[in-house]
Amino acid sequence: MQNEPDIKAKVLAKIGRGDVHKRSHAYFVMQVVVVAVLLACALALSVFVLSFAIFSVHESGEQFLLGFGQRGVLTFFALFPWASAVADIALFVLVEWLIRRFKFGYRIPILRALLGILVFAAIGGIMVNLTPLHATLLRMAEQNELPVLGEWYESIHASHSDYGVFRGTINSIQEGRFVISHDDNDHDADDGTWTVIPPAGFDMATVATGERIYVAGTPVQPGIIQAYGIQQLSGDM
Amino acid sequence: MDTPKDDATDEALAVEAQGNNDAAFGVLIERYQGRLLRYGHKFLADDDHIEDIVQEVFIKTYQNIRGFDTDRKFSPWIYRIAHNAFVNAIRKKHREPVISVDFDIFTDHPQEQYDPAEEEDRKAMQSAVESGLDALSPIYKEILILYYIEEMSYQEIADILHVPLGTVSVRLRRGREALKKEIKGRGNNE
Repeated sequence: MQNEPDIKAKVLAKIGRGDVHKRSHAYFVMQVVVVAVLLACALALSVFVLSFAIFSVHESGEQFLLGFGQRGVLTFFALFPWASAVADIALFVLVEWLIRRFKFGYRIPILRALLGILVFAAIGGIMVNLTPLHATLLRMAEQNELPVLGEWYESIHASHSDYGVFRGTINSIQEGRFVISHDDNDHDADDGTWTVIPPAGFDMATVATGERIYVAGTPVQPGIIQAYGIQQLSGDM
Repeated sequence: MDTPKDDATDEALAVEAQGNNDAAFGVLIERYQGRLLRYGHKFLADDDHIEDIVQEVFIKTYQNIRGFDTDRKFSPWIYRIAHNAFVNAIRKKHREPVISVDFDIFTDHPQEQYDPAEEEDRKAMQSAVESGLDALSPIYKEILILYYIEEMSYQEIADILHVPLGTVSVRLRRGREALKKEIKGRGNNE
């Protein structure tokens, strides 16, 4: 029989000399607790970020762009809150990595785990949007009462005139055009008055003075917009 | 210090070792020393420090013995520690990722059905694994060692490599194919 090296004697000698110590049971319990807490936080954050993205698209009116033809779809993707989407993807990867720290985690193929996390976050995100959480935070942000996340929320109503997207209230309706204005008392770029020329075939009878409206179009002259899509905003937007 | 019984299971010895019975840990070293050295020699092949690495595996095992879940089997647990140590050794030596991105762990794979012909093939594969592993990628080399030399089950291999069961199945099939190709290539060259 081949002589085996005396690993046993060497290891037991190190143990005997006190060079090596067993980690306590509490160490391993703490390890599991820390991973579980991080996992819960990462999951909650991913739900919050996804719910914010859904709220942001709805609240800004950007979802209307999808009904404005190819140009509207392209503008929708240009205005999509990609930062939130990227942050959420990073959080999904973190959640998946944390799940893998558990004994059951590595038994699930990565794509299936990521899909499960996405479904969980989407359902959670939709449920959060059924609560007044984001609307309350947005109101606080607009009243400068929301630290840290304030700018994030204020960006929802930011001007996108550089992308040809305008929001405002109809001041007057003239022959084949109407005038809208927006003023949220901050004198920034999204405040102003514009004359909107609706797209061909638009039924002027569908709009009325005082209505809030979402317009996608091209400025043809200073203050005049040739619209390719118009949508009335509901009272809560 | 209690003297452990010769017929005590690995798991029972691990429970003893979790307490203050270092003699029980000594028995576990006796039981696994040869197996881990063989695993290391096959997996690392040209590494001169396998004994040191295996010694380090036992030290890590001792340090973490209280983290061992006594409801589970001991052998995949200690092999997992050895797997990590061997992969780190290769990484250190080659300064590159040993097991690069493995797309097999991304998707579901059906577990392949048991083929009776495989059992007849097993002896032939065992000797092929003994002689023809060097040219294979570490990802296939290791799974062939665990299955044919260490005689681990699919579930045990999944627990050692931390991959889904379907991935073990597909990786093993690919490893077998790569090994057969390698042996055939050698036969043609001779």
